[in-house]
Amino acid sequence: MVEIRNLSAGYGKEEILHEIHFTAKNGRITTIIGKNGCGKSTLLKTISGILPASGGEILINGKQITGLTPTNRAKLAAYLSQGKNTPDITAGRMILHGRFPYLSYPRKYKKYDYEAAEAAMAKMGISALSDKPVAELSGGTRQKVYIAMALAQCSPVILMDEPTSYLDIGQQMKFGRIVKELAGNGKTVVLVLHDLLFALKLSDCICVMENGKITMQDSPERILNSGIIKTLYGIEVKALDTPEGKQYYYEM
Amino acid sequence: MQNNTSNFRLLFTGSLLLCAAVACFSICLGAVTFSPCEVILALFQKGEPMNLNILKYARLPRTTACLMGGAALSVSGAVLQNVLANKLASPGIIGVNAGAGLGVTICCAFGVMYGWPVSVSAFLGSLATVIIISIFSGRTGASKTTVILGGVALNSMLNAFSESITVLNPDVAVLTTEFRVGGFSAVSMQKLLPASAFIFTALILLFTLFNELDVLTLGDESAQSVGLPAKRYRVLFLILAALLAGSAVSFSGLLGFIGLIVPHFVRKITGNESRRLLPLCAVTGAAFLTLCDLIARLLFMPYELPVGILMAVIGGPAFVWLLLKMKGGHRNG
Repeated sequence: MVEIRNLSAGYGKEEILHEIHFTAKNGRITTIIGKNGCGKSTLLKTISGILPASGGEILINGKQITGLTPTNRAKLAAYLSQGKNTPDITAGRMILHGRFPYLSYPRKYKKYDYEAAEAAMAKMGISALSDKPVAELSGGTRQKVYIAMALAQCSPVILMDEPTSYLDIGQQMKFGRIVKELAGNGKTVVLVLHDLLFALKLSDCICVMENGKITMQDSPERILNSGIIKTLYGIEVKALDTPEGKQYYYEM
Repeated sequence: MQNNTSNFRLLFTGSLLLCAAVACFSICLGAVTFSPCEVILALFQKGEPMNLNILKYARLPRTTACLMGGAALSVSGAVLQNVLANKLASPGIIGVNAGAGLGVTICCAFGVMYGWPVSVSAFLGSLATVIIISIFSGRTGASKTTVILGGVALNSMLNAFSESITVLNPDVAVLTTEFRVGGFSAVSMQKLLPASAFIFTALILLFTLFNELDVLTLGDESAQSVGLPAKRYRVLFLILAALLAGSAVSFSGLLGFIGLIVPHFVRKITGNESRRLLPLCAVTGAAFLTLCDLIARLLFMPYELPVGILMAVIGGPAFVWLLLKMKGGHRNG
């Protein structure tokens, strides 16, 4: 569970996040939406500890993250960043580095680290690519490698910034199923998504961000009914009840 | 994965044996040629006293210097390439060696020709250079080629400072042409000992930080997300790379290109994972420099060519080839 109280953060002297209050519960998918530059990625970076908070507090499973060592923080929360390097190593080795927070003397990965990495690769359907250099993979496959690396971290909280970028529609749906399974296993999943329809369909809870503040946090249905999406983006999203559940579409 | 590990072990053992063979040749061959038996007899003080002197004061220090210099400069190059995310980075090209050279020149200008102060000032010179390069590449967001060009410019400036000191201060005349192009004819155990302490310390530390170096290449945010304080480790790796290059320069002079050629070819064979790259770079770098020195010694006997000249002849075309190859790049590279 992630609890944020009165959080402010930013880059240098520029404050991007102001007085954020936010809760993401165990076993639920919480998605942050908002216009470009509203502070979504900054919020995820601050929760993961990459960016220091200038005020307020962040608790993960009841523990204040500010006093934790980087590896202990990484054991609690995995973070998939938006901008990523392409390292010159194999996909298998890169995913294994998701186990980095658990490395201890003599600084060698152990059998259970390899098992966790293999399980993450299997979950993302990329086991056959283990020996392939990451640089030789397509953008979508590379994204799956990064997601597998975050899964290999086996942390109770998973933070993902634009995880579906580069993924084709089939892979996006598969990713949705994986994320639902993770939440079903009790993990706290926090996503930043630009695809509103996918966010509404996938999430248990939606947070709307505007100018560094969370203006609304509620269920997808209530968010939709509140009219905040129209106010924010100037577009209308409608829901249709079908035997497979609610389906969302943009009204042109 | 198991198969890869066995292949690497085989490759590493083969390289070690090759390195040992090259070192034996380096000890035995030269203006006076020894058989292995004569070398062993001399070491046990049972042969000609002259043979022992040649081995003790010329061949052994020189071979040790070649082995250590080759290992240090190659590993330093591989680390710099990973930390700066730039395959063209090497201590000779981006000015790290020139920074160390300036440190040695300043030390000599104060009348200190060997020992700890020379190694320390070489290290400080190379450290200052890597810090400048790293700030330049980090703050300006310069492209990989721009970083290299910036390094080349810095290299020229630092060499110009060294030259000025040499011209203005006659005491520095001891830094002969051989120091400026790199060579081992004047190496002694006095020069080697402090540098070797630095080199061993840096290598041992680096060999315990393979995973940290690989995680750093994932980019700052990804590295931090798995619990690696990226900025702190980047500085640590730059210090270790500078320590290796600076220490090597303090006894070998401004040897160029080895830190570029060796890591590049080792990457081709074994890939980019540090746990394989760095040990193999150390062994092949040691063997390569010792072999080049041996060739430079024997090629125009009785005259000796400073090994730096031979390195430049091999390294220049290799650098251009690498530059042209990098222009092709790989996906989003």
